[in-house]
Amino acid sequence: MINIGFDQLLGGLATVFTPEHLLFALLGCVLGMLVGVLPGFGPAAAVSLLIPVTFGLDATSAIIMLAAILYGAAYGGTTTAVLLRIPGEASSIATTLDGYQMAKKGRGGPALVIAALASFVGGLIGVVGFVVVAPFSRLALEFGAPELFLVSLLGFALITSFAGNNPAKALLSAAAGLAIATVGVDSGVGIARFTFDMPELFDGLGLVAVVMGIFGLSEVLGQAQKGPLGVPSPLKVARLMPTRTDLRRSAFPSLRGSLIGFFMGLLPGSPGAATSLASYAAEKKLSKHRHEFGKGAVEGIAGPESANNALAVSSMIPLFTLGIPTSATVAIMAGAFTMNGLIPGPLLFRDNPDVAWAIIASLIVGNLILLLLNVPLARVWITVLKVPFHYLMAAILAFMFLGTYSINGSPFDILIMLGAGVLGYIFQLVKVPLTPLVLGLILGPLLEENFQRSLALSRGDYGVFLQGPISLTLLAVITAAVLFGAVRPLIASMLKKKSRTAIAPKELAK
Amino acid sequence: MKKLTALTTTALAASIALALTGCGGQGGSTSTTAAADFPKAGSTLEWIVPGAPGAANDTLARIMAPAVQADLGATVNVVNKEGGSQVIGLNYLAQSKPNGLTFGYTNVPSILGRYLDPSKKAAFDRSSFTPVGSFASNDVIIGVNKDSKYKTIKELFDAVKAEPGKITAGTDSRAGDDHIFLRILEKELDLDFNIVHYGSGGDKVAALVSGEIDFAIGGVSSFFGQYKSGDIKILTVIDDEASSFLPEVPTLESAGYDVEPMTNNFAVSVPSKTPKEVVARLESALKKASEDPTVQEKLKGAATQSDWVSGSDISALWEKREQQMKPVIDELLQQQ
Repeated sequence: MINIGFDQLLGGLATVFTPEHLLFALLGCVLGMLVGVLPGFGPAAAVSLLIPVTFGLDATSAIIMLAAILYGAAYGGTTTAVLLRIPGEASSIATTLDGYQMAKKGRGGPALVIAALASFVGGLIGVVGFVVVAPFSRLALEFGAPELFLVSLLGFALITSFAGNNPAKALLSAAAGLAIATVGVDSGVGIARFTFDMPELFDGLGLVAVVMGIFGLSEVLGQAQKGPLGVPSPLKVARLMPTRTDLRRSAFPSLRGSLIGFFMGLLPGSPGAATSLASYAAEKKLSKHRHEFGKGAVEGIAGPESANNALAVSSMIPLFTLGIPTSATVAIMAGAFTMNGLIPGPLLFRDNPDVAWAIIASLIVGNLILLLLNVPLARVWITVLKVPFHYLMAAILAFMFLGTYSINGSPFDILIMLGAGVLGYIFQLVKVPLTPLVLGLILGPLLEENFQRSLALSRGDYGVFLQGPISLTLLAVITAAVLFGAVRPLIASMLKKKSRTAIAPKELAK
Repeated sequence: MKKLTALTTTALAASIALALTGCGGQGGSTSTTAAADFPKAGSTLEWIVPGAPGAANDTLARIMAPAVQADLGATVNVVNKEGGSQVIGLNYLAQSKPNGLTFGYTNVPSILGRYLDPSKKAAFDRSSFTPVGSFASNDVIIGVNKDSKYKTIKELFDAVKAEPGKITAGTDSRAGDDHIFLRILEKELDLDFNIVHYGSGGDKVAALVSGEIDFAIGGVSSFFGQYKSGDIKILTVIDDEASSFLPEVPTLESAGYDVEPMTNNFAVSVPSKTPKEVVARLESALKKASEDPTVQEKLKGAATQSDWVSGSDISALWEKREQQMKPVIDELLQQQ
């Protein structure tokens, strides 16, 4: 059997703590961060761009460096999400919600530092979880197509958390997202939907391009709408470090976010982008400061950021233990293993245990380096906000064009980004929340593909969704969520009536 | 005067932008004179991969590129053009300037499914490309879960015959290679599978390891790690000759089934109007790279057989496979 334990992890740490490996981890973090800060350059783009840099290195150094590039780029995306409301990748969307509001209030520094701390917590818990869970990772495969369909269905319950005060508008937004998600050749039967015979549309609209337009471009348009007189002066940049209250309020969200991210990362075909949104929704439900969400609540950064990083680590588990990449980003890592003559999978621990453990240990070291780099760097990044907005927006526009083009080297994606930007702008004008749209766009394909796949497997028998303990548990949770959602307003209004009659005089006095 | 300055500034800015993005092209060189000194020192070549980073052919291109680069004395960048089940990248390659600076994958026989199916709206066919050569091949295999009750390919196919449409087979995408190969098997051997499409090669292998599907088809490289670890068993290689990676696995022919070999050649082509001398230079560089011992070692690590097939041989093979597969694909399209 494979030896997986903390002894091996310590051994791995010893391997990583050589000047050479540390240097490549540092180099990877810095390069990844620099590329990741450019809007549109997510971790996948950064790694494929920077793979040639690792040629000529030994396998361990090369993969340590590539992993560092991944984290660095993911962190770079967080920076633009907080400061400019441009998610560098889909999984930073949740961070834009409160991070950007904090930046607007002059608390961009604390937002970035909290994001760095939460990411570190997520990474650390991810690695500890790696060692504990890896021997049982096969259990994640119990989530087949029917179970994944039910998980995606449950994901729609998240919409209520992003609804604002008008559920109808949130549903409209989610429906728009689902509608956009139908574009492309249907993956089960092969029917072309809204593709207009253009191969560019066969795979649907690119998530990153849409997200950049919906959030980033719509913000630029919104600023432009205010005209030359309405352009705000540079944002205030108040204190850099988070307050003690900030830290206290981030502690539990980081832990919860890490757990959510960790378990979602184990699932095959895991919806990475939806995970940080799930963590955000959980924090909003649990927080004592619910009213602050969407206006700059620090929990809304700590949760999603830790979830993001824990997911990044745990999604490597199926690759290391089973040789199965569960996401596009991990597939690139798998390619890097192969390029360096390593076969990802259980044999890695048998044939090259030194390399395997060095890489796992480097995940801790890489996250530590990022933390050490980013706390002082936050000072540098927030100076960006001192640039007058009209200049800043022009530069952002240029980078958004470049970044969108770079996703796939396709000018078509720029058109998608522009279209999405206009749609997002209109939504903002009529105060329709944007996050449900993105949620619909992420969950739509998961829902549809796994539904079709389940029925293909069962040859049309709907009973496939009722088989097994996982499906039944998920169904029970979904039913409970729907019932609770339907009954709650009723109970709430009843309680309100009661309390109003009881404390009516007091309320008058107010 | 003022206007003129503005114009020059714009022109200057534009040319800087072009230089920066590398879109400047080869302004002065024409196709006839370019051949002699191809590639110019300091020029950049693009190796078009019509798929995502991390996919099998992407990994191989990234293994080969440094060796090709060393031989040519010019930069070789691997460029991913993803989408439309490879059609986006292949369209781009077919329409690029025929100057040898852009080359890319046109894998045989997998490219046939991309343009023989009119619904894919491919803007190319065989005549759009001149093959440079093929540096490696990937045998197509059929694998089952380690606990599968099917011990041989005959047991599996007999079970399919006994219960048509019941045995589930996984592919990495609808209308991709796996799907076409399964339909060819169905047609040639009079079988009926319950074909289930997954989102990627990784998801397909996960479904096989978990036992969600009865069997899966695909290139040997995508199953090799799980095969070596014992999580899956490989029942057959769809070829006349045993795979060098799986000498112990019987070929489909030796099991008594007569099907054309499905082995995929990692062929590289340039747009068809590329000057002959340029193609020859690229061919020699690619051949030399494929014979480099470190490259061969890495290809072996990727469970891919490095074998060199010249451009003219690939050309002939392509034509032969097209004749064989066109009627099959046409028939499959009518059935849908």
